[in-house]
Amino acid sequence: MVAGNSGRHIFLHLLGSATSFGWEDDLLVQQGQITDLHVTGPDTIALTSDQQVFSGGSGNRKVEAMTVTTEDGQWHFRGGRVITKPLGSALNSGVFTDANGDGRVDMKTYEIGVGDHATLPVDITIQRASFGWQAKSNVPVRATINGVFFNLLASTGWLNLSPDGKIAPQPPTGLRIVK
Amino acid sequence: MNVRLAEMQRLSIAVAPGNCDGLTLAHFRVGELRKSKYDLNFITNIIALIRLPCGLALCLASAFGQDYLVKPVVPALTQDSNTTFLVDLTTVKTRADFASGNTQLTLVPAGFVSGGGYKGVVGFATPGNFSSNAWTLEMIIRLPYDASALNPIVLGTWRSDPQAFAYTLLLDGGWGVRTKLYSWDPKDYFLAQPYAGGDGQSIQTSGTDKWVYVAFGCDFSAQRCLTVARELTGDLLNHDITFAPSPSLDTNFLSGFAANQQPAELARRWRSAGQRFAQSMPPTFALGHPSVEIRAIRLSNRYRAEVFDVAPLLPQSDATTWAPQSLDATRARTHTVLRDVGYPSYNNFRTLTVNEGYLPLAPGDPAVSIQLTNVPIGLYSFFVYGAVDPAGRTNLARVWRPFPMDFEAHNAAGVPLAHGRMPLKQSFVPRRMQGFHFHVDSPGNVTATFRVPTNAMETAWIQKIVLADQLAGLPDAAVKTSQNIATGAANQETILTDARKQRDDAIWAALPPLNVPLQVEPQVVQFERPPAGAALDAWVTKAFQNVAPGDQPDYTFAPLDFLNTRTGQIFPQTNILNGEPWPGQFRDDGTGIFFRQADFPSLATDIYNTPRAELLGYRYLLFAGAIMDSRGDYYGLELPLNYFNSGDPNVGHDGAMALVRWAYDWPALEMNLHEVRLCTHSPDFEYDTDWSASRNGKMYYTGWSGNNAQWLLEAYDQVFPYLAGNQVFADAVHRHVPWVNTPQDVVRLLDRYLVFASVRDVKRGLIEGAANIEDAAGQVLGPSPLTRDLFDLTKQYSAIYPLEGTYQELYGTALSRSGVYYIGSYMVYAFRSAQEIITKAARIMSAKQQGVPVPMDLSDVAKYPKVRSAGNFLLDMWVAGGFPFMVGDASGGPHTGLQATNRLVLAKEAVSQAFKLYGDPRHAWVLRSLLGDTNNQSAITAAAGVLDPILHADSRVVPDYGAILELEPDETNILKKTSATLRLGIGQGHSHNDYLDLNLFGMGLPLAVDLACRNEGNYWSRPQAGWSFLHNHALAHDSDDPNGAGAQTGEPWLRAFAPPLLRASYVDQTGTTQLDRDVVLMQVGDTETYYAFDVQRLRGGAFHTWAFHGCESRSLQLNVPMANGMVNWTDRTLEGTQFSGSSSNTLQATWIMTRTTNNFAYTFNGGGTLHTVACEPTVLAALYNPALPEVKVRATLLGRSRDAVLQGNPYSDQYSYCFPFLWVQCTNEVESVYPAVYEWYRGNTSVVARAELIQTNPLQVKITTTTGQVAGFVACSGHKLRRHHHGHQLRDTSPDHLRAAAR
Repeated sequence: MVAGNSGRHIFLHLLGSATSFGWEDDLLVQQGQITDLHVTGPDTIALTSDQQVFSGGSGNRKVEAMTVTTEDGQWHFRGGRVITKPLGSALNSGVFTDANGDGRVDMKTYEIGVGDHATLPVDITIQRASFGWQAKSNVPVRATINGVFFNLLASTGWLNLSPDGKIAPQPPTGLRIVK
Repeated sequence: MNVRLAEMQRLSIAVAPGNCDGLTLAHFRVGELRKSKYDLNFITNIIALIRLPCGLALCLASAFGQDYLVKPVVPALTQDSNTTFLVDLTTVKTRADFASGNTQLTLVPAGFVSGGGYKGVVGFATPGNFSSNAWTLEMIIRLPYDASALNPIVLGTWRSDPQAFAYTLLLDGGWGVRTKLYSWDPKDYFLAQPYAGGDGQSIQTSGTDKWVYVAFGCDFSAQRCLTVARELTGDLLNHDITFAPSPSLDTNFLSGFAANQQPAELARRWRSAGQRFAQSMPPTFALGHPSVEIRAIRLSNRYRAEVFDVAPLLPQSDATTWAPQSLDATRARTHTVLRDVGYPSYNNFRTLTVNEGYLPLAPGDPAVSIQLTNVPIGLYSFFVYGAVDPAGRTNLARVWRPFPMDFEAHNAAGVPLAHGRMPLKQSFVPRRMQGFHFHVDSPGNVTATFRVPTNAMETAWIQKIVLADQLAGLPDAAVKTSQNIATGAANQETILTDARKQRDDAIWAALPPLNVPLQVEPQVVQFERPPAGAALDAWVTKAFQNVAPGDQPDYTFAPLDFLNTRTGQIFPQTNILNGEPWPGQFRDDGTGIFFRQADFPSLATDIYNTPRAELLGYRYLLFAGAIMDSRGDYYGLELPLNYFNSGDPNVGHDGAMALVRWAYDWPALEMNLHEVRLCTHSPDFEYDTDWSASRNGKMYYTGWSGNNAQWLLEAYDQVFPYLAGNQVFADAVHRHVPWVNTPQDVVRLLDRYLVFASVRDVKRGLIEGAANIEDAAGQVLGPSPLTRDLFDLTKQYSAIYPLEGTYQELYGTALSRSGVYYIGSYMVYAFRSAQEIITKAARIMSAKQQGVPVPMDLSDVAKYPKVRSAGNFLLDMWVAGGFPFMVGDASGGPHTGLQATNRLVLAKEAVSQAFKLYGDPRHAWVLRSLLGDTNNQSAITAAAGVLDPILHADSRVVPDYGAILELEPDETNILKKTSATLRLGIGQGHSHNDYLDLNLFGMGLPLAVDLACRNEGNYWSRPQAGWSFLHNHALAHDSDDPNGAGAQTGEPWLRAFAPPLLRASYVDQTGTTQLDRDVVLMQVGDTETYYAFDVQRLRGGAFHTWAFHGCESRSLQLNVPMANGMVNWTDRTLEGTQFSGSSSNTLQATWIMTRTTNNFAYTFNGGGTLHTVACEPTVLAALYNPALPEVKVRATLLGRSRDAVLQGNPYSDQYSYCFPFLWVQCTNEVESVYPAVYEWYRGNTSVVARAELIQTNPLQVKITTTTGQVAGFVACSGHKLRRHHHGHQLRDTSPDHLRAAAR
């Protein structure tokens, strides 16, 4: 799937099925010691770090589109604005802490975060076979082919379609996707 | 289907437990890697920062042009004889701490900030406190960030209409710290506004939330008025020269006066201003601002010039630094010169007049000497800084005239400790010229002398000599107690025989000592041969005469003696070590033989011929091979490994002694000093840059020193059982190192001189940070309080190109999702990088298992998935059964064959470690089936039922690198594989401008692939292989110069991965250029024949160019007429290969893969003849069948009938290619659409019979194969819906929702 927002698109290979999925990639794209931090509003900050997102700002790598977190991961920001926080907490410079005790208060930047969109392209393939048709789709499809109605489930493999042998193995026409 | 991410998710991956493995060392073959220079500038940056143990200063001059740092002026707001007013506001008070006048303060008690200063306005009486003619007002202030929007911030002001005068102190958002003295009297008009800041630099923009020292000074009589802003350390604020004082006086009024009257008028105006200042001064002055916190105030009755002057930090004599006055006051001189004074960063300096001290040392002059008392045991270096006497010159010649220096060090008894003759580096600006080293094996006094011999052709202007303790800060303790990497033999010699002693003596003498010129790396071509007419004697190493290179390791410990092959004369080792020159007309004393072009007109330039340094450099390399298991990079005895395997105590003794000998000098070994190539000319002839300052490392340059250090540590572990507890060996070492008396002393020596020194050298920039020396050191030494920090990745210093920092932070920042650095180059660099993180994780796992606390457990691949990604990377970047995914430099090329097996063999240790870390069955298969590991039972078990992960790889996406289509994953016959790669990702250093580059593989061949090569020095490619227009993509640009055209400033992303379909996009940094690309590989029936249909949409720029090249081919067949002729776009391709024409609506270009070699004459870079290979036989090797028809690659581009067609041959001698590339170019088109078909076949029957552009919007293309299969492709630009209508397949891919069929 493609995830992100207008300033940052990434492709992620999803693992899982139905409505439960995840990915193996580490989306941490920057970590550095905070060198300057200012709380500029009730839910906004301005901060700088001694490490920068590699090639940040280049085309599809808009730093302001990425998700910044505190070292403990409790606070998330995008474009300097809070997007998630512990319930009932107020923003102050103290939310950035040295969570791992290494003597450095770090910020972390992730490629995507809460509030970003994930887009999974629909991919439907129907091909002729000697016995009729084969279909493969990553979403449920209700369709008619040559006037014959099909109701297909999502599948990772090919589904054979041969409704009563009425479909002759001809080039497919008239694909009409109902849903 | 859209979903909104509710939370970040990660899968947990079960990690298969494993045992620790041996030390894994990244290694690679000689060849490509040796010419890498990607980290030159990086190293320069490190050297520019002083981050070293005390007393060890490598280079003070930064790489950014500054000659001197700014001398700090530490604020001292204390009372002295000039103080008229002083108050410390860190405690609550109502009176000044000192005042010449009234001490009463006017302030608000609530303004005092606990733990800080006073926030607000402070009033005080001016009589007696604020002098009028000359004064300095100093404050330490702090401005909070939330007040940074205030502009200006007035700290104090008064105005007098009767006096027509106003005075203001302010913090200006644009100009910085500023004073304004203003008189508007028509006769006495005066406006002075000095500032410290500017160019957007001010307290408000760059100095908030910290204490800053600001000063305002004025002396009306001396006509001075300045301001300054500094850190409390005394440096200019933010180490930014912008905050140095800048005067500003409006002198326009002088135009109304004759030139000879102007000085007097100017002086009068100053006096008038002073009088008005004094007369307008109110009885009380309010200083401060409600938003500014003040810590201290001091007023003085003079202009404190020392506060405002920006002075260079000139050398000062101290215990370890000798400036000219302390070297020899009678010979010390000064001269006044212009120098750049500032801080290390771009343009961060001012050019100032400097009184620079120096001690001239001409050829034959008496030596300068330095006396040291009570010098402890150790290894020390003197670094000589200075310049060469300009002698009326404004520029130095590129090849410097001979300029050696002789060095000697003696102890109190007159016993020589060290001596040598080394060439001095040259410039007219002081620089580090050379380093000289000496061992002290028993404490005592040392005398060092420096002289310029009579045969020198320059005079040294010595600025300083600095003494460095090469062991300072390194633990002096025996830490290692066991063999930690792997268990090997442990036999020991039990008697120290005379024969053994003689052998030890030979070993000790066989390594050229410090203070001897070497040339270990290749010399520049210009210096390799003496000029015609110079009948030099041929000197060789006597021991190697008539010995084949492969047999020379057997003579590694032979004497250094030279042999004159013409006369038979022997030049013995003692003469070599004494620096005696060779006899004869051309007397190389080690620093090379200088040949002047004036004497030898056949020369293009003055040159050095350096046979002696090269012979000794080779001895150094051979000695290294005697110690290191270089995995075949060097010839060598590999004694520690041999002992590890065989247990022969004699071999073990040899290896251990060689290692001790090597370690003895190791802390001081520095390539920048010993390589004559780096001490004789600049810019370097091969790389055309100043390597005399920047190129550094240990024996080799930094990039390879990492491997060397790894191998040395490994060797130490291998011989440890021999030397541990071995008094015989300790006695043997004692003969050469008197302070070594016990086996523990031997360990102490090696731990300190070799291991801890290597860790230190990473921070010095002499060993690349990516080599993970800290982990290796920790592993070799084992758990100990002294090694605990080596395993702490949260604190471990690391350098992963192009960044540096703690490893923890670089894991996040410098490593891509694939666990490799952003180098943009696969087969050598990124492949190695993947191994490095795996090795590092394995070491951490090993340390953890030994009970070492590991604050960052990199071996936990669930917590640190980039480790697992790196393991996958080792396998996932091989295409079509084993071709490299050709990305960037050093990644294959148009006649590269299958590489996977060779590379994975070299990465065996990393593969093994990856399996141990997380048990991927694919790694198990590689271990068992490819690498022949039949002992690893868990791997054997895990590999059961697993298919070859290279041969049977599926289509996949490699994060941050690209997408790979594998159309025949089940096929075992390489010749029937079909694959395509689409480049994603971004990189730097060895990257190409290759966004959305499409490469095609089929029939076991690279059909249309990246040149994947460098452009560095002798490894040139023309045009440079990394240029955008040499890749298979469309590019937008604004001129017809290909240099920079379509340069990559963004990162592509994949919009859809639906094999056999790929969809991706690229947007540049400004967002004005966008390239969308959809590619599908269409199968012909149920066969293994495919063709590719490709649509590119391009927006932005004045020019649009579709670029494509197929396989290596003698010529290019086009179906449009082409005329011979060169245009700007093709002017760098091989002369005589440029053609141009006009496109048709169906442009067809065919490449025929070469089956024979060819030769091409060229004129570039001095000219020559390049020889191409026969591509098909080279790639297929044993699978090549000449009986089969030739391979053809054909591209058909539709709908570009108005465009220009351009053709030319990029070429490279080193990389042996020269073949046609094709470009189709138009101008002033808002959006260009490029539908194209690519096919590959043998013989004369193509795959595609006909490709027809049916309509352009929506784009419809009909493709008919020669077998009769018809496919229709529809691509819509607005909603990116894309369908294709196929003979037996109907397909729809929609990015967001399903749509009704159009027909």
